[in-house]
Amino acid sequence: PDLIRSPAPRLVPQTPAVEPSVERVVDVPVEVRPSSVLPAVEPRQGAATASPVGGATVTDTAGQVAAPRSQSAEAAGVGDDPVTMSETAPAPRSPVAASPLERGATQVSALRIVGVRAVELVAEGEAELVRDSRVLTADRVIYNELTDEATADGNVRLSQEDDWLIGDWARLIVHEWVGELDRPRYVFSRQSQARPGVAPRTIVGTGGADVVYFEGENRYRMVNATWTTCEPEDPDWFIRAADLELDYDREVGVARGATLVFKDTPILWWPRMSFPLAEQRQSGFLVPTIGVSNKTGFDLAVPYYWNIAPNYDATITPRLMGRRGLQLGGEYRYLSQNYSGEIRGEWLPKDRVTGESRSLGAIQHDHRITRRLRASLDYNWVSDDDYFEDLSSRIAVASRVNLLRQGRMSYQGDWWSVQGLLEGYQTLDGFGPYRRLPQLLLSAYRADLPAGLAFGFSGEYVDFKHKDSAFAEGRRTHLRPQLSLPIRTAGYFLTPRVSLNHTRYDLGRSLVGGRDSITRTVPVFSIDSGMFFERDSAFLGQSYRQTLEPRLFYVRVPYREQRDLPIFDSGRFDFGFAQLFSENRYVGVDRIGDANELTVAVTTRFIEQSSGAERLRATLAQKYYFDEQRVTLNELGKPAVEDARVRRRTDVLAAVSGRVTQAVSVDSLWRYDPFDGETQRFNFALRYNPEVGRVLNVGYRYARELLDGREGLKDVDFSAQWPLGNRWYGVGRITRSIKENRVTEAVAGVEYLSTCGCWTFRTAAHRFATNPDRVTNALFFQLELTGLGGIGPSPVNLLTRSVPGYGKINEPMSDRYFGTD
Amino acid sequence: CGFQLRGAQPLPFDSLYVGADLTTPFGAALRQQIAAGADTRVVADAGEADARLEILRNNRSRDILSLTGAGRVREYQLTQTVVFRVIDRGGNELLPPSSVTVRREYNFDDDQIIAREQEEALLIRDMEEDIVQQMLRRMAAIRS
Repeated sequence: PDLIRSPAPRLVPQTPAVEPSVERVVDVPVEVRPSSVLPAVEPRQGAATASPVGGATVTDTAGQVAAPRSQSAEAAGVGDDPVTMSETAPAPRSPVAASPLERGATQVSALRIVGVRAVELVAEGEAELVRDSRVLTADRVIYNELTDEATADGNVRLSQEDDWLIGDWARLIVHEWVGELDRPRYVFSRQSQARPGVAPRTIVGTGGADVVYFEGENRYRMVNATWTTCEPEDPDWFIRAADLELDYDREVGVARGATLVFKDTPILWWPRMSFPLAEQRQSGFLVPTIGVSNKTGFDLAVPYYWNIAPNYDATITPRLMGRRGLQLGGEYRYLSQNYSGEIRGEWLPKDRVTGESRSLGAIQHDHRITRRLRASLDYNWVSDDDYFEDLSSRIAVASRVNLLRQGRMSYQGDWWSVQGLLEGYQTLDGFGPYRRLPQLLLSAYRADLPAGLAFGFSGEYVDFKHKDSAFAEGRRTHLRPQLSLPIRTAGYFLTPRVSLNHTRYDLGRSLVGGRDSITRTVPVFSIDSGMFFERDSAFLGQSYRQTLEPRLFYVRVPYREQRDLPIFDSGRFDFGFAQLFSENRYVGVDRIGDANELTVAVTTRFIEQSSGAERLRATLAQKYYFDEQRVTLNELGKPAVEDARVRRRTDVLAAVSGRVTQAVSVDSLWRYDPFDGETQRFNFALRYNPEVGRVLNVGYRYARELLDGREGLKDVDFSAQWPLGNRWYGVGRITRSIKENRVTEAVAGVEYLSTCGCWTFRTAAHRFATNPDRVTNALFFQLELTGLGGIGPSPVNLLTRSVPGYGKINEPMSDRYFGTD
Repeated sequence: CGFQLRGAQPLPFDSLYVGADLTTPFGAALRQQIAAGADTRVVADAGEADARLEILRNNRSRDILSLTGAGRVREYQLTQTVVFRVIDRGGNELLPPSSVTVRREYNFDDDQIIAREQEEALLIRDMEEDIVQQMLRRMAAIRS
């Protein structure tokens, strides 16, 4: 047989001298390079030729072989300078960086290499086989050139890019990445997919097994294996499985006979469990959510997520409620280029408290029929009025009163649009809103008319229905053409505008003492103007551009008697800045408020010179009335809901908001009545947020009286997330109504981030009022195992909503990625 | 006191592609304000533009701000966050991802749901105008 031996030791050239050879039929050389000082004793044989550069020996064999990337063996033995090496040995084991091998080239090195040409190489002592990004090292490697098979013995380490495995014994077809490794420990790293706004993370999966079978470049199957995202040594949690499949092509792990072990305690068992390897969507059982509430009792939901296709998925959630029984929930979501939607259902066959079957259904669909024509459907239904209060522990859901049922279609032209709407509600409490069956809208805007004029038009036709016969019903047609002359430069703007409101009511069921058919025409004139001044200023060591923006807004609307018009969809605009600059003090067109008034406002902003970011804004405004108010929301034959204003001047409105320093932000609004010396409204919120995981919020909200004479409020709230030490964080919120002498909402919880960062525990108790004398108490638990993907309706949603500035402690980067606001 | 009438604030590129759906009010307002602002042309073809404005995220949420003692929603807060960046022809970031967040709040009453929805719509328009203004100032601060 042809034997290939390494020649006398020489210095290893940095660039392996692989000489091209006419005999080579496949350009995939195998280079053999002993990496250390042992002199090879056997003479060189075969077709080896000495390289003039570094003494590398290259042997060519007539390669053959089906797989073009792998075969054709050229063995070159190159020794190191004994003197050099004896001082620096052993040589670094990753020659990938040092020696830019030709793509597909194989290099074998060892203390001693004995080979049978074209058949077998035996590399002993710190043996290493390198091809592309793959490296196999072991005490002894036997490599067969023909089959591309390597057998490794003792301290085996196999790596491919960032992934590596160690074990006792391996057999591997190098090119195909097919083979096996005994008693492996492994570390596989993958980046999670970058989503807009979320920094990609590296997910490291590690573990061990009795044996791992290599099943191609990115697939492994293991027997009696473990998997975790924790540190490999003594992981806090891991999945133990009789059979574990890791498929990095699909980025899915499948564990059969799987046990989830947390702190050496088995906590869950699945016959078959699949989990994401890089945080992407994955079919399988999601981690269950566990809670307790006074309405449902013990509450366990085990969602099964079904990743049907990239653009549609389903979640099926069996939910066991200790007090009420077993509920089945399902959600199906779909998304395509032109439409998207969601269908949800919940079904509790028999509620053990009420003895009845209870259910929920919801459909949301949005459809882009053409680029301009869109349609949508939103339909919600529950079996009974107490459904949400009894069965949901989430405040946003429990507080729902009117469930929307709406179909909508719209067409967007270049300068005009039309929309048709059919809308009703399921009302769970109260007399409920009007249904609009249908509403048709037409609006148009052209800014490019001669002389700089702009024309606008809005038209509306609505047929209002109400199930309660105490409410008027009828059709309303409203037409509003408008003409404006906007003048705008960088330094100032001036916009005079005239419009005409023409409205016709045809009432099927009219107000007591009212007429059936009424028309009303109201002209409106307004002029809006403002200027922008600037100067450079410095504040807390930062240089800012400070603006000064005075604004004047005048409105003139003549009085028209409107008491005999029903209130279908109108109400008073909440008194704020948006209202100060609107032509009508009411939303909706059932009332067009008479006006002869001037709003005076001045705003100043501090804008960061370097970035253009607005840091602080303060506004002061006041409205002057030149006439008394005559139009009100009051309706003929109904109790009055609004007292006409007598005074000539409104309250002063002042607001300051912004980020005063990197950590401190404020948001405040003050409405003061200088006439009576009374504060009408005062909102103040202060946030101290020096870093993720540390936030303090203090808020105070006061209103003397709310809209339409509703009782005012006086609330204080305090919320925080703060480290308690030893990796524990406390979170909480308390909102107290001073006026009602009652806590309307309270949240208290703790979070723990494990030392290794591979799991997080959260628990939160939530208490909120659902009724003047009833509350919902709920307790949530969550164990989040990093890398096992997003987990159900956890306390995170609750905490994010109740603690402004809340940061997920196990994702410290999430808020910083775009942290330039 | 040192204040001067604001001069023109040109954007540091001649033409800009606006990567927002121009059939939405937000996209239309953005385009209109950029086109009205200075010498920068808004072009329809991304390939022709000196710079591209990309909207990476545009989220709007409505959160309960306060509840009545009866557990009904009394005030809502609207929050809208737009994350955007500007890149040049070669894909280099002229403005790294930047976010603008604005908030508005309003009183809510379940019995006046249609009126409150109209108010919400007005506030959303107001917020989007505010966001557009802040985005323009960020873009004007780009050093070309």
